[in-house]
Amino acid sequence: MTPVLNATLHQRMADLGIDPADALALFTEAMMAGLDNRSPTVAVYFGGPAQTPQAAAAVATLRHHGIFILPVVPQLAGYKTQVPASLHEVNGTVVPPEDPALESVAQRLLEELRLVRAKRLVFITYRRSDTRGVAEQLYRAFDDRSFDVFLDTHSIRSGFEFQSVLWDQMADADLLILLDSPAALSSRWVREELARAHALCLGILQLVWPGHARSPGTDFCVPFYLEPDDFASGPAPIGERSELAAASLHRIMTLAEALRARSLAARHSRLVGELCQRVSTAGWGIDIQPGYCIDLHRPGRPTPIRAFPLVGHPDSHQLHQCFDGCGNPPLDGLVVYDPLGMWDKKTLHLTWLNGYLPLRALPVTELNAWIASGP
Amino acid sequence: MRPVFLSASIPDPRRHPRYIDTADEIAIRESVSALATVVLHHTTLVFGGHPAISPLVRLIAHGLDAMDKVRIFQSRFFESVVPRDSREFTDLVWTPAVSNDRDASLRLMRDLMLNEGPFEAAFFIGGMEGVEDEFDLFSRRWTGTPAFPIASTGAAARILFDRYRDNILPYLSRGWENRLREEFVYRPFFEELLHL
Repeated sequence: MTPVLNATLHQRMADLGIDPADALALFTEAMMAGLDNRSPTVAVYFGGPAQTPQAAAAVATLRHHGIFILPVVPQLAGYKTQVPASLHEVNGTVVPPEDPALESVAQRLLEELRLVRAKRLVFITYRRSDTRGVAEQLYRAFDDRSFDVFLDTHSIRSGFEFQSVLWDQMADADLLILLDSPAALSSRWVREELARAHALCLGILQLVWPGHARSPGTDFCVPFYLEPDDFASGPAPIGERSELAAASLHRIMTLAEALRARSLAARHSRLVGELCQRVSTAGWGIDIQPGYCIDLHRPGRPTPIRAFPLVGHPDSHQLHQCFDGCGNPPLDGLVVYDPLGMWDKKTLHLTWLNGYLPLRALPVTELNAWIASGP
Repeated sequence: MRPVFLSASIPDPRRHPRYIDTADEIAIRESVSALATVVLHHTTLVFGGHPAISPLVRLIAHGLDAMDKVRIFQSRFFESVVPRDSREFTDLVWTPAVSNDRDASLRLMRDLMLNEGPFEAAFFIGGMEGVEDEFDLFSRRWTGTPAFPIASTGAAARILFDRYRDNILPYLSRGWENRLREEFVYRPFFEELLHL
């Protein structure tokens, strides 16, 4: 399993614009002496009936250093017999048969390295009378894969305030699933939601219902054309009770995961690229650090500013995490985010927080003005 | 600053295989969004209404409180299918339909739209035949005004870049021709191209 995981990790890091040859080192239990404690480290333990004392010792050492270990076992029944004692209190995971490339394991490790976000938020937008059954089926499938799911029925709208909060939350999602049934885009809200998702550069998977031409104006979405065969036998494809066949659901989920990774990679590289370009143009030095941060060296100043490019809109918990990453004694911290789609009240809240916190949240669009102010 | 002209669309895989081979939908979307953001801070953006591009531009213009800085052209030929997003722009210019002739109506719309100049510059993003046509019309009508095919978005923009590379080079600093093909961080790039 190790070579498979290694290959998948290489692929996913390359998707994020990170050169795995440069940034990724793979260690096995035989190579523990070579581990560099200063580098961000995560571990996976492939459990089973037979375990070696060497592997158990390696796990104990990693646990001692507070390193995250993901136990992967063939089945959860008899879990404690498949892992060393030091992992008994850690929740293990089983890789589903439809994931032979170990994508779910790679994803979890990348999240722990903060290369992708732990927050997995998906929006499903649909018309209740047409596609409720499929929407709820997708809800369960995403929930099983540790996504937070927002089911957006077009009919339920409780005023402008609700809409503003919803659109603000959308900035934290990476994926929107549009159930494109014949009347889905007749709603103004759905069209607005799509435009916002595009402006935020979310991945949008468009499930086009059988017999329905793709709705006009959806050219930026990734289409998946459903055929009558894709539905479980029973009610017709359109209707509140129809559901997808299991195999088709798996194909859609796999496509959705890949699209989420691409969307996240694009948003990440746009933000990092803009930050690096603007400070370089100003004559500053850049030093990309492990752990998803960038040290910005101002000419003639002894200490750098540590910048954290953050996809989505920062909340106080993330700001706290970034501050923890500023070292001891802490460097000046800067959290850079894209303000597009941000709710006015959230903008005010961040401005208020900036007055009290030991680091600063800055919209990427204000970088030039900030550099010119001579921080 | 004079207005900036935008010509953009997303290739349709069922109609134009030669465009789809190089098309990068994520890059097309990002570059349209970045161009609208950069331009609308400073001047007017002129473009022909498109069902996928118009909502994106409208959203950005609305966020910047710059709806009045977008001049959008629509032919009456498409009046029955023009999306509501296009109708929300205050400066929507309807051009006459030419009998029942789709192509002639589009040609007239493009002629009238490009007579709007002079322009600061024009940007050509992704696209199919329409983007190629608008590039040819623009280059003939506004000789001496920079016309940038953003080749990194692929499709027609890539074809135009390969075909007219020598005409574009005088408007670029040395080494920049590669950036038209390879740059994906669009906001700072467009600011540089527009000398902002």
